[in-house]
Amino acid sequence: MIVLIGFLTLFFQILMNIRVSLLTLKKKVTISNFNYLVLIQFLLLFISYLSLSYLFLTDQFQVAYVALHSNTYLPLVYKLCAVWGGHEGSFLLWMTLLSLWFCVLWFKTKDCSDLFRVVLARIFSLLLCAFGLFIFFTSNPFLLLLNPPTNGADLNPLLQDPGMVSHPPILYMGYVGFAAVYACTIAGIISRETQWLELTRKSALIAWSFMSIGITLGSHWAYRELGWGGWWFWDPVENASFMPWLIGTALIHSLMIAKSNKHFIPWVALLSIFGFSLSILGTFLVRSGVLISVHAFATDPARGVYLLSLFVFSLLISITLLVVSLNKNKLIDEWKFDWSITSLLIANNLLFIVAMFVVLLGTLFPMIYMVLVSKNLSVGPPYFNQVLLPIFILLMMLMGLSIQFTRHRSREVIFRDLVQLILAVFMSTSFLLLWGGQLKIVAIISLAWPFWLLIIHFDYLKNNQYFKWSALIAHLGLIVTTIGIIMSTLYSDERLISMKLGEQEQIGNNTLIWQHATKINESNYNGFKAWFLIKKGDLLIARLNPEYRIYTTSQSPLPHAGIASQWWGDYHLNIGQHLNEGSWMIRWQMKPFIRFIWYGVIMMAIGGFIGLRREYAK
Amino acid sequence: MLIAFQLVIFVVALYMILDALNQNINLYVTPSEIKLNSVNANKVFKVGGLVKLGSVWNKKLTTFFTITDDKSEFNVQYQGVLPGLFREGKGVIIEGYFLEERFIATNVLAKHDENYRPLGSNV
Repeated sequence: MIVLIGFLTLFFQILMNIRVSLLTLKKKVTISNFNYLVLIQFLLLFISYLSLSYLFLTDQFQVAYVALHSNTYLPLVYKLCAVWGGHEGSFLLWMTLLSLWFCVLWFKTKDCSDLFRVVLARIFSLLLCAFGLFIFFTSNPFLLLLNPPTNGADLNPLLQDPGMVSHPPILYMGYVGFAAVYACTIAGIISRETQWLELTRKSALIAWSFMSIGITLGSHWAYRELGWGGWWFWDPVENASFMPWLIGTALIHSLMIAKSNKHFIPWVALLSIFGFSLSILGTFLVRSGVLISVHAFATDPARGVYLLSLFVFSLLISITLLVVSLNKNKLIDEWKFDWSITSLLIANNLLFIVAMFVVLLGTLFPMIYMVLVSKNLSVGPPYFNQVLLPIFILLMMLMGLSIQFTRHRSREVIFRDLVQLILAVFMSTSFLLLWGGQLKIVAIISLAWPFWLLIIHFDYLKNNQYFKWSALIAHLGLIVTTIGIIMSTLYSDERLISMKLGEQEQIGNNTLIWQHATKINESNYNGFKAWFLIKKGDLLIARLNPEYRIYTTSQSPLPHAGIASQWWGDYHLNIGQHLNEGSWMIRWQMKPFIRFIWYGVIMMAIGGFIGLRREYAK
Repeated sequence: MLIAFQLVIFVVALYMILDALNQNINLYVTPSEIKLNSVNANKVFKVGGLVKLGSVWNKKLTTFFTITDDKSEFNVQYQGVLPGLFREGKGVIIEGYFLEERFIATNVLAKHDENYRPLGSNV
């Protein structure tokens, strides 16, 4: 019954969106007649989504998707999350969120021109149709099994983590948001609606902020569970989310200028199209099975072909549209680098696009090589670090310079700049001394960068004319993240130790003590929990509880890190393999300031949300 | 003049990117493919194969095992935490380089399917 409701609502949603995509205005049909249609298509998808959740909650294993991704032993919250634990369900979530964006934008654009709203509705409903048919034909979550199993196959143990609750839906909000940005831009250019830039700006800020939070949650999850203490791996799926994020960052910067400088409009349009295409490409990379990773669910060439054609198709159509509907772009032709804010912003945009292409090249190269030569290869993380580091250093320089120029409007205050640089070096040195770390030249120099930016932003605080809270908080977030990256890269420490229960081990000034171990018996896993202490002399510094878990249904062991946070950083402890006669391999890590990386990104997202309200000078 | 300058910057940047790419390409090979080519000591390889039954042992913190594809095999040495799904007879991907006939692994990954169960038992 519920299966039927879920399936039929999904089906009618497609019909409804076909109807919306054909909408034309006649004498008797006004734009408000479509309010119901837009609302109903969202409600239909939402009901479809709720019924799938209900099927999971009540363990209906006659549904193939539920049987594959759930289990009676699974805790309640993970049953609800298991809805997006596989390909079919996560696509349904994707669509529901897209439809929500459609609904919200439709009712928020009441005072826009009819033409704008019609074009907006057509783009959204065509997208919803395209994805609806995709689910319908290649990935239906409501398929039934002839011989239902008595119990399900279980959710992948790696996904049974609190991160599963928040990371996928928030990241999807971001991905889907780029579709909204795209729809607003295209509708705006076609209809010549005056308000479209503001709508695009708001959608872009929301999408970008959600994406930032989603990526951070994923990174923190990997740090706890997968990465053995790492926070970014240049995994193709991470790259798939990083590319639209880079483009989104460029976009929200160029949107600031686009209102006053109309030359920027084609540029904004191009970035919107890129952002949207990259989120489709990301979906293709994750969902087609071309990748082997925790994120890749199922391998089905038909899905890949469909998504790839959608990607190529949407990219071609929008670029053609852009070329046809706009005059020749005078931005690049007439642009001369003159140290004005506009020039610095163009340089910022170009660097973000270069960074995106660098990531794209490293991500797609192995796949292209596989298709052409049919040999497997992978691109190592040093490639990304090596190439992106100079680009990001340049970007931070630009950021400093552009803030500097809003205040001084000239280059004649070299003396002042010099004082700031010296102050920055002084600050980075005292920061290191205060923390008690060893003074490394490379650390002093790299830390001077974020501190220089900090000084410049304090200077900016005093500036009335250009002050914006959103920019300030987002930029401070970047400074915090940078400090986290520099400190955790330069000062991390790692030891492998062989330890028995009851033993202790000296690590530098610290003593690591394995006090005792207790058995764990949860509904979805069992194993043991180890109780460790870290002491400095007689002073207790931290307690750590790493776990060795064996998941019930798959019988797969999965160690769970023990993490103890201090204000300045984390201790990270992992239990590895059993060595011999009761000794286990223990991996001890010290990660200074690693939390700053995630806190900083959260600050960036807060800055993005603050930017939503109309900002005036202070 | 300006255009020539821009072109030079572009070419240099492109060269740097492609050079970085070229230096960091890790070929994915099987143990028998390794024997065919003469091994370059500094080259980083990614080797996929099975952990030979009965070949795993450890001395202090270093684990030793043999990787095989049933045609060819070689010895591997690894110091570090093995993934939970690392088992004898199962699929594994190792990353590392050759040092005097022995493969020094810097990273060991277990092959698994989408439900996190080990792969490669039927080969």
